[in-house]
Amino acid sequence: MKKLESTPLNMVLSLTGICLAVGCILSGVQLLTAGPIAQAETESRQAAIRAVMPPYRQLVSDTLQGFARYRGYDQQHRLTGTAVQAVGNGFGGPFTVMVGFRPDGAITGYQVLQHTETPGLGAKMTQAFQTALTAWNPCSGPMKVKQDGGEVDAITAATISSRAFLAAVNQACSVARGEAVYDGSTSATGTAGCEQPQPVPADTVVVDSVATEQPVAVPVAPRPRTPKPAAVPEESPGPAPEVVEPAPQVDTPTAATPSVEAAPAPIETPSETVQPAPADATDEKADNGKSKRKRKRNRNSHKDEQ
Amino acid sequence: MNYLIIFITAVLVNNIVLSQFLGICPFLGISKRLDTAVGMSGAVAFVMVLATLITFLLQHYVLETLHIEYLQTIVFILVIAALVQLIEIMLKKSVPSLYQALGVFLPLITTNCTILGVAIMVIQKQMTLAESMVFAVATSFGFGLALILFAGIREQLALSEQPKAMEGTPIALITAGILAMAFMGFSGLVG
Amino acid sequence: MNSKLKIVYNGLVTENPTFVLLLGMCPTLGTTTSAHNGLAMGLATAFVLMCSNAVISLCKNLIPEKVHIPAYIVIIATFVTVVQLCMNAYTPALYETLGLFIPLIVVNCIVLGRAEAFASKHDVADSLLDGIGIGLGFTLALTLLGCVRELLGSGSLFGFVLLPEWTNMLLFVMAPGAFIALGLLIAVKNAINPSKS
Repeated sequence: MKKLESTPLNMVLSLTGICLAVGCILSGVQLLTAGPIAQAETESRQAAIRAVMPPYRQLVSDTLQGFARYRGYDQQHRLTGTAVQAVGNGFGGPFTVMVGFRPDGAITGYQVLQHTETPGLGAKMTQAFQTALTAWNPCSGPMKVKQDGGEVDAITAATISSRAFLAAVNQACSVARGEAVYDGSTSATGTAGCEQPQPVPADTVVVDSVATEQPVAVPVAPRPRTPKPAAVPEESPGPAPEVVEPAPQVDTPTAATPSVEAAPAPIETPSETVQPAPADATDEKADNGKSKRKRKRNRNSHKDEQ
Repeated sequence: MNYLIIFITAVLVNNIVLSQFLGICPFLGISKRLDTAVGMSGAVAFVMVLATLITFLLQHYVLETLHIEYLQTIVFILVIAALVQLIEIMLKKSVPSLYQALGVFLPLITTNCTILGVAIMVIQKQMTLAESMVFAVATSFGFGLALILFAGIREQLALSEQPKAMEGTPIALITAGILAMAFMGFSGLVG
Repeated sequence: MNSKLKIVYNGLVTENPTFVLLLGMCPTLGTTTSAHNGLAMGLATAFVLMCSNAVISLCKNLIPEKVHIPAYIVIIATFVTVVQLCMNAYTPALYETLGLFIPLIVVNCIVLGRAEAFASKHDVADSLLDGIGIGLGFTLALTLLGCVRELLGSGSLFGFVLLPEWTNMLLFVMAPGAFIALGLLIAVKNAINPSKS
């Protein structure tokens, strides 16, 4: 078959034909792959969250001053942990880190989601700070490298990256506690979680259920520890828009375990006295009894500061 | 101030050729002489700014409104190819002297990774129109800078003796590597 | 040698796109930080090459001469978009790593060059074989460069750590190392098999 002549009609026809065929093929492929693409995105985000946080059954995500925050709840709708996604300005450009917190504010782990640091230097931040961060006491103040008077060892020859990383994690800490975001000034954050936090309302809230049951359907009031709801709502900070109405209620049982959202100090005293033994048992089941020990430590340190 | 940072980052810190590996084909092919290098840089600058403008507008007002973002690659490359054709025809008719100077490079620009690369990058980085324009100008400036520097070095290289196996592309690549190392010194310059 | 096999051998060795024709440098340098990435990029490009060669050869008589460039570009871009969508859906991690270079396959000189030089002049079977040959040659070159850079730069191969950390020459996983490694590889190839020019 001879090649088509280059007449205007032929040119237009062939180009139109090609474009039509192309359009059909691509729309078909796009329809096929749209589902898996969306799924892959949610899965990778959830995988990062699961990797840094204690286990949860249900995830509630909101944003606080532009930071994405994910809070996990167990089957009894108590807070099991918080994950915050923070962005820092590293040496080679911006990087994103997901930091996981226990309800008492201690860090359980972190994962650097994306960075453009130099391999072998700033890139070491993906692993270098794991032990330093998990050993950090949330009531001792913001984390700083040793060069700035803190206790954290910077990465050798990558001080700028280390500083940027710790700054991002400090911001994540303040977001996890529901406070105004740490801006590097010495007066902000750090010890605020152990005194009265200044609650900041969340911008937007999305309930992202892993479990099938919605927290709305399960009222907490009928449970034996009824006195607590009176104490909690006035203390529980910021996020209480309609969609996450359950969140303060969900936080109620966890006031026994120092919820990062609720002010630990004022609630703990009544919870300690009012709380019947079974609640303690379930709480310990939820977080391996560590929170009870920490709770006592926090309470005592607060008393010292008083 | 933000624009200045974008400019310096695109030219020095994240140079399109020496850090991002876009535009290597013309970088190695056209840079044997200084005047051809200057000509190519000028042509690329011209096309890049126009192409970025048009593809940006297309993306935001057509592709996103109709939710056909997956057609981005096809639409962008067709726009660039059409633009290059149009510019060639226009230059030939209106500014023949410029056409003579740039003419032979223009068709080569269609397959230049830099143009498509920049068009996609400004969308990925979610820049505003003004920022994308600054970015496009800065990138073409960085491309020209790398090309002209390299051409200058290569003119000298042609006069020196090398091992037989190294002649031509290998020595050019190694020289480019050393030039890239020099540009690495700029990282951390901003922010 | 069987003429069909000869076509494949041509693409693989005689006219290897990276080491002989010196085309497609951008992805060669940009995606070979590890052997795995190089292999993936090579295979993606090979897929586009095969499909576009076959389709263009099928349609070569239906496309008038004057519009053949835009027509070829549209066909190539279609397959690139298909690869993009499939990688985003089924291999998201790889999609993130290769990033910008996947859509840039459409401006890879090799693909358009082969379409113009071979597919528009030969039948479908031969064009498909040529696509396979050149694609495999490209993949081979990319994987080789990726192996060299990964071994020298991180002491590992396809993720398996082979060398202790103190031997790592970090330069090779960064920009300058790519240029230098490729230059040295081409020099080695020139020493073994001098090019006729």
